[in-house]
Parts: sequence; structure tokens; C-alpha cells
Amino acid sequence: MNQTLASLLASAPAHPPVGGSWTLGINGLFTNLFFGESQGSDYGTVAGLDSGSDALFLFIWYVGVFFFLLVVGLMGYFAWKYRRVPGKAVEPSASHNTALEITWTVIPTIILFLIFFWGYQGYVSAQTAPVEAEQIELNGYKWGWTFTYDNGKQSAETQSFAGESSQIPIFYVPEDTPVRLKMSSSDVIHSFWVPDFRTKLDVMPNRYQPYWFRAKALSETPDKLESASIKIGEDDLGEPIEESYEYRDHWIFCAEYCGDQHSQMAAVLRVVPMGVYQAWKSDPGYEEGITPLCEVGELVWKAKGCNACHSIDGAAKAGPTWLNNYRYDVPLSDGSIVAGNDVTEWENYVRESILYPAAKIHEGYPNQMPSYNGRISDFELRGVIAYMKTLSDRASESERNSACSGGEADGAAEGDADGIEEDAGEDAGAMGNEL
Amino acid sequence: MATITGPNQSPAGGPLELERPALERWKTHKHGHHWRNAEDEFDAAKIGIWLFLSTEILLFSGMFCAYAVFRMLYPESIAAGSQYLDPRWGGTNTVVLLISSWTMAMAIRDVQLNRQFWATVNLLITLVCAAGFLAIKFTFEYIPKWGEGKRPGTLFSYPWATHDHEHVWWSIYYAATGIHAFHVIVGMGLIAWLLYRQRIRKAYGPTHYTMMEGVGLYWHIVDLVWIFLFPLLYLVH
Amino acid sequence: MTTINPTGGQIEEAVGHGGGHQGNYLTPKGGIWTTIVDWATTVDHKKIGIMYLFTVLFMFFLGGVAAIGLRIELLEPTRVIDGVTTGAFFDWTGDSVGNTGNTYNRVMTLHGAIMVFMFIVPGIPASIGNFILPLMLGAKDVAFPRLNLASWYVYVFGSMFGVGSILMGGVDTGWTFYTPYSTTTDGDHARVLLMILSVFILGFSSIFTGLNFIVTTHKLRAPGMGWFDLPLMVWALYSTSLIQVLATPVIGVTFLLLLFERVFSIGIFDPGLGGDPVLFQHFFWFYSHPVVYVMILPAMGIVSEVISVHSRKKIFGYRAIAFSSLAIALVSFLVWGHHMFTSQGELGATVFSFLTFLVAIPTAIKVFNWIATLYKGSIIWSTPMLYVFAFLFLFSIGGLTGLPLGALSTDLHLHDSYFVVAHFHYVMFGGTVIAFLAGIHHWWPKFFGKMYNETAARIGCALVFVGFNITFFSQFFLGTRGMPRRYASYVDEFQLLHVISTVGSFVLLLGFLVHLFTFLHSLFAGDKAHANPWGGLTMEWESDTPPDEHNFHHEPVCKHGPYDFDTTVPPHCSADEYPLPDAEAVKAAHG
Ligand code: HEA
Ligand code: HEA
Ligand code: HEC
Ligand code: CUA
Ligand SMILES: [Cu+2]
Repeated sequence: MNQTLASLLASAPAHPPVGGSWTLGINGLFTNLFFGESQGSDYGTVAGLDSGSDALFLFIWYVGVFFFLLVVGLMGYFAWKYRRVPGKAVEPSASHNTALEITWTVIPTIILFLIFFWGYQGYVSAQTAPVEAEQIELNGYKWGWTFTYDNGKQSAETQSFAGESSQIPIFYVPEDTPVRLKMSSSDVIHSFWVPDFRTKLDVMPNRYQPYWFRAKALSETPDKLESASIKIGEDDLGEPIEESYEYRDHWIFCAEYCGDQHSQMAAVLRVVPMGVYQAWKSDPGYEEGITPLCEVGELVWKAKGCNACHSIDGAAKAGPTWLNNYRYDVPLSDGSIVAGNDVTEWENYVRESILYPAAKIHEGYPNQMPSYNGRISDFELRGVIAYMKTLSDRASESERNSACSGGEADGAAEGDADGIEEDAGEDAGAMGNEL
Repeated sequence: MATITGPNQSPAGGPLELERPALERWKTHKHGHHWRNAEDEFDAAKIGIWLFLSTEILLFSGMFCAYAVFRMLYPESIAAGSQYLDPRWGGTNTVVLLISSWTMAMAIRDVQLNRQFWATVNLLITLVCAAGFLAIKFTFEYIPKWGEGKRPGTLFSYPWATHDHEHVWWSIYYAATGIHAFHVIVGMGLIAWLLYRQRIRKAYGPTHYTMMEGVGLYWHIVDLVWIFLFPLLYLVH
Repeated sequence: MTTINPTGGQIEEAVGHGGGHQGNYLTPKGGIWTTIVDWATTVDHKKIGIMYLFTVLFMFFLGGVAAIGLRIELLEPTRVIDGVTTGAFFDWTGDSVGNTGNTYNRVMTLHGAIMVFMFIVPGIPASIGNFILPLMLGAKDVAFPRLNLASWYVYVFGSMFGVGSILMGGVDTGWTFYTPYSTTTDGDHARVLLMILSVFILGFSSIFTGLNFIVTTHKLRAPGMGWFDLPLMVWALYSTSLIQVLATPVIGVTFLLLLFERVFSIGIFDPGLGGDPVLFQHFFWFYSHPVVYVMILPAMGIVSEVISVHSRKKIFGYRAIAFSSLAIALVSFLVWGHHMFTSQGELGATVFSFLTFLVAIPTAIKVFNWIATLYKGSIIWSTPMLYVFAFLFLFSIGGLTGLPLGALSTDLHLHDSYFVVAHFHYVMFGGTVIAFLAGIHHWWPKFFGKMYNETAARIGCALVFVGFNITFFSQFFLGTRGMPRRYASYVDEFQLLHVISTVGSFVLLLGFLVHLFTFLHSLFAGDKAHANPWGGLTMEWESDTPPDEHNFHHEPVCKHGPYDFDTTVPPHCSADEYPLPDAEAVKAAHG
């Protein structure tokens, strides 16, 4: 995955591949052919699942090649040897042969049963997660993913990869640790697929689906690492102390067809050392009451996936753009208008649109938006409103300033310390900032 | 029909058959030109009808599967839902359909024995029973239930619902009985057509009653489906 | 090329000049309008077969054009860089900038739905089958000729709904119509509704044909023709029809419920209302898996016929092939869950995986039997036979790549990737379409009484074979390397393979254009065909070429098996052309 982006197919690989194909032996040759050079030779174990699916695939491949060559080889041989000679009578031959027929029934049967059992074993190991696992909640929606970590943290990081035009969201997971995803969808069926892990599972709107993996230790894949640094604290002067670390990326794709931007549901799973993961997880990205509201709004726009449907540059996506929305008239589908000059009405409209999107529908945009009721805190809501204000050219200078001044601008009502409210129940605790 | 050669001539050269409605057509019924004899044709029609009926059974099995799945998913809601149905009306309808099935069978028997008058009477009773079934279904079940808000899916608006998924129950109920009622309506059309053919065209008699038999089998299947629907929807709580 | 066979030739002569019945079933009955009305109201299975052939090929053309569109879009990943969109072929449709998914998904659905519901399912049975089945049985027509005509009209009517919904802007559900996506997308439009209705209506046409074939096979066999004297094409069509009759009603009720779901939101499949979307998948695949065997069984029938006739060899293991058709038909009803390994529970997945492997066994048996048939044959490299070689080559690949999909642990990776796309094109195109082409070329002289240009047809065959492999073999690698299906855009690393695939599809298109040309050329300027150009023994070759309106001049009687090449001189042919081996040697070989 590291070099996937600067792919060995489309362009020259960023790193020289480990060993030439030939040094990998025949298995390595085929694995590279099917799964790409970036996999190294021990395919599938990047996930550490040991489901053996790579080995099984290769086995089926060999069986297939054998029978294919047998069938096509005999066919070609007979076709040539017994080609028609005009005027010559055919040589009579038997039209059945019990021993032969039993043989060619029994042998494939045995092979097929073998494949079945092998596949079954791998499947079971891919399904059963160890008890001690890092729990992450994954939500799929049209068209993106959110990861909610056990302290309520949601990732807002995005990056533009080589060739990819859009910003790809990045989700952090610790290396060499079992991770269990509790997956659900807020609209239609999606499917969570990390090709490098060789397994996928549908993300359902009406039930939780379990997906687990243990990302291989970084030290085991030295040729696939990249490095970055993270802030681990501040020195006496308030200057950040940074530490550099190595990481490995894997693509995440949505594999179940889900509509217009099904192919844009790509994301990146970033495997980092445990310490980095912990440090990253406990940094909420903003601090309630300190981070300026408009920045909170921008974070929400990225982290909660609003950016999948709402542009900030005027482009029409599935939802209306946020550019120049504030203080402009918003036409509704029932013909009425949210008057641009009434700030309170507009604020209420925005609030309502986020919590109950079906209540008022923006003209020309069929309602596709999932409800964020319960998934967005009041502080974040105010953040979005402030952010939208800064995106309007009709916002006055003072409005801009207050939107982007300290978070306490209009007095926080809530007392809870963590920024992101959890899905109802669970341990939606406020363990966040203490860590 | 395809062999009519001139505008006013039957293949035999006589006047067009349409002008002689009193003719007992069943006596002159000829098997299709691609058949060797009438028996083969009759057998073929019967196999065809049985195959068609098997498609009907499979169609309803789909419905029954859906029912079973939701019974498993939401046993309480389904049980609660079925409490709203009045087994007395369901029972009456069962009896009505059973009678109609019997008169249908009798009508075929009458035709085989060339008792044309009784065949007509039995067909008429069948038709009336079918209409009665629908009348009961609509006046005592569909219309009042719909009015009370016991509707399927998002249309559901019954204010005193006791379980979360009662609307699913109503969806199943309306879909299953609706598809069945549609079959009853189609059956009525077929029986009316039989009546016309039997009474006016005199098309059926001891040597030719293929369509009578076919529609009869269809009608029994429609009856049979109801025999399954009735206990599943009305009785099993 | 007029070898006069004692009986066949004379009868032809006698009737040909005897006034009354002149010519054959194709001979126009009068002016253009009379002819049109005659065709439109015909109950002749041959004419209905021909009408089906043309409509079905037209649908194939529509689906193919859509496919080329898909391939062009996939030539480059769509990117918006500095506000400039690149690689978005479908931009000209007025799609919103940078989001070609919208149009792409509609074209993809159109391609899949047309190819499956309007091309390949009715495909072979309703066109070639309709024409050939009664002839092979020695019958004058199918059991219910009017039902047969109704089937065609229902088919056209149903297809009009489908094409209508496309003209109105298309449907973006994928051919699988998975809920809840299909019940919510395009909420304020009737298009999805039209497409659902279309599939629902097409189901009736499918049932009509299937029902007709079953009854015909039971009741209209020529005197002396027992079940084991049936050509294997008939066995294949019979098994196909069983599936059509038994599986189609289930898709009927499924699509009815889907319809209710969309119109009234009854909530049976909608999770938001407590419904179960996976139930829809079960229902859908309960039909749609058996339906893949509706696609392949008639193809296998064609292969059995062609391979035996063109190698003048009694088919090897007649009973094994006949029974394996039935076995496939029956087991195919039990494996639907292999399309849902990633959405269902463990128990179901395990059972379905096991049964999937069971269904592969009868197919393997057939393949081996075909190969054994070639042994010691007298093989002519005619176009139909070349297509059969192509079939064995491609279908083996398609079938064998079904195995990693049927195995649980590997399918978790391969499901919904391009590996699946490659698999099903190898079986549907490499299997069914290739066999369809073999059949069209084999029976073309029977249909129209004209020959086609053999050289041109072979060139077409070669182009199709090569183009097909380039297009779809590359997709196996795309799949294993992680390219999901139904993607309008993709990450850069997949581009090279996509480019290869697209190039292949152009070669494929070229191949089809060559065929189109040979067919048109043959129709308008082809040489008159020999009455039995390949020396076939099945009963359709006993009739005239093209057949008389009533198929046979007098009722044929079954006197020899369909594949007794070493004891029978083919009708309309001479023993010089097809010399028989020594009777003793034949006895020894079969004894
Ligand atoms: C003509 C249609 C056709 C045929 C014949 C087949 C044949 C088979 N298919 Fe395929 N399949 C499809 C059409 C077809 N399929 C389609 C359309 C889809 C995708 C639908 C969608 O999602 O859109 C699909 C998807 C599909 C899946 C689901 C994949 C997924 O989505 O995750 C699976 C999984 O088990 C599968 C398996 C098989 C198997 C085991 C066979 C077997 O029957 C194959 C048997 C054949 C052979 C084995 C080869 C010949 C034999 C030999 C050369 C002898 C030697 C053999 C042995 C030793 C075994 N198919
Ligand atoms: C019979 C079935 C069939 C056939 C023949 C084809 C043929 C082709 N398919 Fe098809 N395909 C499907 C069935 C079929 N497909 C299905 C079911 C899907 C899944 C859809 C979904 O996901 O919902 C699919 C999906 C699918 C995809 C994946 C889309 C995606 O997942 O994003 C792609 C991509 O390359 C593709 C390409 C092609 C190509 C290039 C051809 C080419 O082989 C086409 C070549 C044909 C022509 C170019 C036409 C030429 C014809 C004439 C000139 C007329 C004259 C003809 C004669 C006289 C004979 N198909
Ligand atoms: C699946 C796509 C989608 C996502 C994700 C999404 N929206 Fe929307 N949004 C829409 C659509 C479509 C509309 C217009 C229909 C309507 O008014 O309900 C809309 C309307 C709105 C409006 C009303 C704006 C106007 O001009 O009418 C606001 C405010 C809004 N969304 C905020 C958000 C926020 C905040 C998020 C993320 C936390 C978000 N949306 C995520 C699709 C989406
Ligand atoms: Cu989400 Cu596809
Ligand atoms: Cu299948």
C-alpha cells in the first residue's frame, strides 16, 4: 500500500521492489502477478489473519491451471490429430467407458471438497476476533466513513495522494494489535474492504457487523514504511515537541454499490506504533471553549463527512454548497423561502437541517442527507453555523471575527468535557481529554 | 380461426361459423393441426396447466417465506397484528371459497355429462361466491382497517398500536391477501369467460372440456392458498 | 452443391413443383403489408424463433454499446485537478462536474439489465431453441403456438418498459436492485418502477417459453423417439425450461414486493421501517443463481450438438451429459447464498459454499465428455467448431475461476471485485455468447437457406476470441489487486490494466462488426445452402433447408439415434461424402 499510490503499474514504483520476481520462486511470481509487487511474497499476512486465503488462492490457481491445460491441451491435440480428411471413414471408438467416467467424476469431487474445507477454515479464523481487541466503531454513509474511537475521537485528517484529486480521509490504527470494528450504516448497504487484508464485510443499516484484523507489525514490512511526526507535548515555551515515527498505509474501499459516489468512498487506514496511536487518539482536534468555532465547524465538515455532499467552493454535489448560504435566501422545495436577512431563522433552519434533514428540503436537492441527531454535539453545531457564516461574502467583518474568536463567544451551555457526543448509550464517557 | 379462407366462408365452405351461435361446438371441436390426436392435446394442456399452477405455488411460497422471516424477526408484533383480524370473517370467507371450489368441480362434472343447464348454474354459483369473498374482504376487512390507520409501512397511522413493528405485519397482510385477492379477481374473469363459452358458444361438452378443467384447477389452487393464508394470518398468534 | 439424396431430394422436387405449397416458411405470402401482418400474427415457431433472434441480437447490440461506453469511461480515472475534470467520458451527458458516477452507474445498470434480462436469458432458448426444438422432435410446432407468440409480444412489451426507463434518464440500481438502495434512489421518478415492471413482465415471457418447451418435449416427440433418443440440445432446453418455470415466479413475487416497497413504502425490505434488506438478496439470488444456468445449459446443448456433428463422432457419455443437465438444474436451486458470503451468517455461508462445489461436478463431467468425444473423431475446422473450441477454452477459465469465489475465505477478498466481473464474463460471454455464435453459425443455413462466407466468419471468430481474452483476462488481476466493481473512477495503480481491457473491447467490437457484415452479406447475397451442410443426423436436417411451413412433408419417424454417425448416412447426403466405417469395426468398438 505504501507505494501502491505511486504504483508499479501506472508509474515507476517509489521504492525498488524487494528482490526481483525471479528470486521469489514460482509462488512469489504468481502472487506478485495477482496481488501486486507491493505485497511482498507472503501475501495476506499483512493482515496477520492467517486465514490462509492467499495460499488457498494459489492452490486453486494451480488446480485450475492443471485442468485447464489438460482440457485445452487434449482439445488442441485431438483437433489436430483427428482433423477431417475428406472421403475417409471415421475410425469407430467407444462412446462410453465406465472406469474413465468414474475417475473423472471422483477426482474433481475430492479436490473440490478439499477446497471447501480449506476455505471454511480460513473463513472461521477471519470471523472470530480475539476477545482483547481495540474497539472502534465504524459508520458508513453516502459517501464516506467515520471511525469513532472508544474515547469518542473522530478523525478529521485528510491527505491528497498521488493522482487522487480529492482529499482522502485517514484513519489510524495501532500495529500488531487486534482491532475490532463494530460496523453500521446510516443509509444503504456499504461494504468495508481493505484489499491488503484480503477480507471484506457488508456494512448494514439494520445491524452491527463485526470486522477484525491485526495489522502486521511495522518492523515486518520495512520496505513499505513512510514517516511522519506527531506532537507529543509542549516545552516550557509552549513550543510543540515533535517525535517522528513510521507508518504504513492501506487502502479502504467501499465494495457494495451505494450510488453516485460509490467509487469515491476510498479512505486510508494508517497503521502506526501503539504509542503514536494513543497520543493521536487522545487529541480531540479541538478544545471546547478554546478552539475558534469556525475551526470546529471546518473540522466537523471533514470528520463527519459533510464534505462528501457539501462543497465550500460553490460546486454542486449531492447537497447544496455552503458557499454563500448565510444571508442568502434559501429556496425550499415547498416553494417557501428561508429569508436571508433573518439570522435567527437561518440559524434555526441550519440546525434543523442537520438534526432533521427531512423537515425542510432545499429546492432541487432530493433529500439524501442522513440525520445527525445524536451524532453531533451542540458545540459542534454552533461550529458548523459559524463556519458557514465565514463562507458567505455577505457576512460582515464583525460576524466573521466573532465566528472565529475563542469558542466561548456566546457561552457554552453544556458542561461535558469531550467534544463529540457518542451514539446513544455505550460508554459515551468523557474519558477523552483526561488521557 | 387461422384456416378461414374467405371473408364469409368457413374452411368447410359453409357460412362463417360466427353466424350460427346455436351450434354445439364441442361436438365439432378439432384438435390443433400440430397434434396427432385430441388425447395428446388434452394431456398437453393438462401438463401445461399443472406447470403453470406450480409457478403460482412458488409465487405464493415467496410470500410465505417473507411471512416466516418476519415472524422470526418480530414474533410479538406479528402476533399482536393477527389479533386485529377477526377469524369469523376469515372463517366465513374460507367456507365461501370452499363452496365455490365444490361448485366449480361440479360444473366440470356437469359438462362431462352434458348437463349444460346445471353447468351454468354451478358456474354462476362459483362466480357469486367469488364475488362474495371479495365483498366480505373489502367491506369488513380492508376498508374499515384502512380507515383505522392499520395500513402498511409508512402509511401506518393506527394510534393504539402496542408493538413497534405492527406496520410490518400490515405490509405482509396486505401484500399476501392482496396478491391472493388479485388472483380471485382474475379467476372471476376466467369463470365469466367460461360461462360465456359454455352458455352462448356451447363450446364445452363430454368430448371437449379442457379449459373448464384448466380454470377449475386454477380455482382450486386459489382456494388452497387461502386455506394456508387463513390459519397463518388469522389463527396463529 | 446439390447432392440429391434418394428420398429427401425427390420429395423436395415433388413438392417444389406441385403448386399449392410453394417455397418454404420464409416465402412471402403477398405484398409487404401482408407479409408484415403474417409475421406479426404468426404462430409458426420458426418465424417466432427468427423474430426472437433479431430482437435478442438487437438487445445485445444495445448492451454492447453501453459496455463500450463503460470501457471508455474506465480508460482513465476521473480526476478534478485545479478545477479541470479529466478522464470523465460521460461528462457530455451533462453530469455534474467531477461526478461521472451518476451517468456511469446508469450505463452500468443498463448494460447489466439488458444483457441479463433482455438478451441472455431469453437468448438461446427463445431464438435457436424455438426454431430447432420442434424440428428436432419431428413435430409440426410447439405445444402451444399462440402462447409462443404471446411470449414474444410480452418480451417486446417488457423490453419496451426497460428501454423506456432508460430513455427517460436511466436507472442506477445495478442489475441486482439491492435494497434499500433501489427503494430510495431517484425517489421522485418512475424510472426505477418502470425497470422493475419490465423485469416482472419479462418473467412471464420466460415462463411461457419454458412451459411450452416442457410440454412439447413430453407430448410431441416423433413416433419411435424415446427419451434417450433425444438430441442433447433437447435435454438441455428441457432442463433450462424447468429452471425457468420454477425460479421465475420467485423473482416475480420479489419484484412485486419491491414495487410495493417503492410505491407504498411497505417496509418489508427497508431497514428504516424494520424490514430486512438481506431478505431481498435471498429472494433475488434464489432466482438469479438458477438463472445463470438458464444461460449456460442451452449453450452446453449447442456445444454437445456441434461438437458431435462436426467431428462425426457419437457423443461420449450421452446419459452422463443428459443427466448432468438435470442435476445442474436441480442443484442450482440450492446454492444462491454464494453471492452473499459477506452479508449473511456463518452457517448459511458454510452450507452454500459446500453446495456450490457440488454443482461444479456435473459441469466438469460434461467438459470431460466433450473432450472425449473429439477422440478419434473426424474433426472439421468450420466456424461453429472453432467457436466450440473457443467455448471449451473460455468456459473452462470462467468455471474454474468460479472456484475461488465459491471457497469462503478467498471470496471474502474477491467478492464484488473485478475478479467476479471477469468470472461472469468468462462464463456468460465466453460460455453462452460464444456457444450462441456457434449455434447461429451451425443452424444459419437451416434458418435462412443461405451460407455465409466461411473465411470472414473465421476471421470474426478469431477477433472475438482474442479481443475477449484481452478485455477480460486483465480484469482477473484488477480484481485480485483490489479494484472493486461498479466503480466509475479508481486509484491510479489500476490504470494500466484498465487500458488493456478497454483496448481489448475495441478488438471485440471489431470482431462483432465482421460478424454483422457476414450475416448481412449472407442474407442478401449468400450462396444457397446445401440441405444438410454439416451432415447432421438429428431430425431437423431431415426437413428441407429452410424448412417448409409445416416443417416436414410427412410425419417423420425416429429410426436412428441422434449421433449414430458410424452407422447412418446423413439425410440429403451421399455415402461418398460421408463414408461409413466397416460394420464389424463399429460393433467391436461399441460392444
Ligand atoms: C453463465 C453463467 C454462469 C455460470 C455457468 C457460472 C458458474 C459458476 N459460478 Fe458464477 N456467476 C455468474 C454467472 C455464472 N456462473 C454471474 C453472472 C455472477 C455474478 C452476479 C453478480 O454479482 O452480478 C456469478 C458469481 C459467482 C459467485 C459469487 C461471487 C461473489 O459475488 O462473491 C460465485 C461464488 O461461489 C460463483 C461460482 C460459480 C461456480 C462454482 C460455477 C460452476 O458452475 C462452474 C463449473 C465449471 C467448471 C469447474 C469449469 C469446467 C470444468 C473443468 C475444466 C474440469 C475440471 C474441473 C474441476 C477439477 C473442478 N459465481
Ligand atoms: C450476457 C451478458 C454480458 C455480456 C455479453 C457482456 C459484455 C460486455 N461487458 Fe458486461 N456485464 C454483464 C453482462 C454482460 N456483459 C453484467 C450482468 C454486468 C454486471 C452489471 C452490474 O454490476 O449491475 C456487467 C458488467 C460489466 C462491467 C463492469 C462494470 C462495473 O462493475 O463497473 C464491464 C466493465 O468493463 C463490462 C464490460 C463488458 C464488455 C466490454 C462487453 C463486451 O463483450 C461487449 C461486446 C459487444 C459489443 C461490442 C456489441 C457488438 C454487437 C454488434 C455490432 C451487433 C451485431 C451482432 C451480431 C450480428 C452478433 N461489463
Ligand atoms: C449523503 C449526503 C449528505 C451528507 C453526508 C450531509 N448532507 Fe447536508 N444536505 C444533503 C442534502 C441532499 C441536502 C439538501 C436537502 C435538504 O435540505 O434536506 C442537505 C442540506 C443541508 C443543510 C441545509 C442547507 C441548505 O442550503 O438548504 C445543512 C445546513 C446541512 N445539510 C448540513 C450538513 C452537515 C453539518 C453535515 C455533516 C455533519 C451534512 N450536512 C452531511 C446531503 C448531505
Ligand atoms: Cu458505499 Cu459503495
Ligand atoms: Cu451463483
